[in-house]
Amino acid sequence: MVDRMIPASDADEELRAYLEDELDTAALEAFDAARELWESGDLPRMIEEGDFSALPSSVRPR
Amino acid sequence: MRELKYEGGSIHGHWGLVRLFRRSTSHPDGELRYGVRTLGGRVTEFAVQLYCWEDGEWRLVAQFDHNPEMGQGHDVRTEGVHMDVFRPSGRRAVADQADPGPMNPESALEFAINYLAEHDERLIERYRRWSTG
Repeated sequence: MVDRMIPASDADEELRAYLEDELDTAALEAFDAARELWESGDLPRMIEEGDFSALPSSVRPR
Repeated sequence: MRELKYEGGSIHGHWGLVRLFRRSTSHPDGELRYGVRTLGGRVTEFAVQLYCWEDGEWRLVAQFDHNPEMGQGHDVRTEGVHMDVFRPSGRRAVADQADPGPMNPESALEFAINYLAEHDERLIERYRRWSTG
């Protein structure tokens, strides 16, 4: 139980920093695009409605 | 990535670099664990897992993964994101999926983390109902 106490924000920042070092620009932009969609409420709304037709091309596979 | 025991930290190999992360959840007995493998500036593999603390051990509740190189692995580029939901017996349950369709691995990784972070309480409480049911 002791090792559970890891603040969410720290883990997220560590992941973002790792990806920033590892990914090319397009991949990192795709990662950020998905985060922005979620934080804006657009992606949760799409899940609720079951309609993903408005997903931007930036998150689609190239 | 499923063959890796979760220990935290980094694992290097000729196949790329794997980093393992974990974060707490809004559910007090939950934890998110995710591993990411990168190669050549792209995400080539990931697993995002929701665990809950039950009967003195961590138990896997739900998982998203992208692992196209394994025979039974999923490929988010062609299948879309795919969530496996587990019963207390360890058997996979029928998943209630939110499937936005094919995504690139980087977007799918972010989607999976956010989805499990958002739905952790519902998933864990259902897992516990299965335990007692």
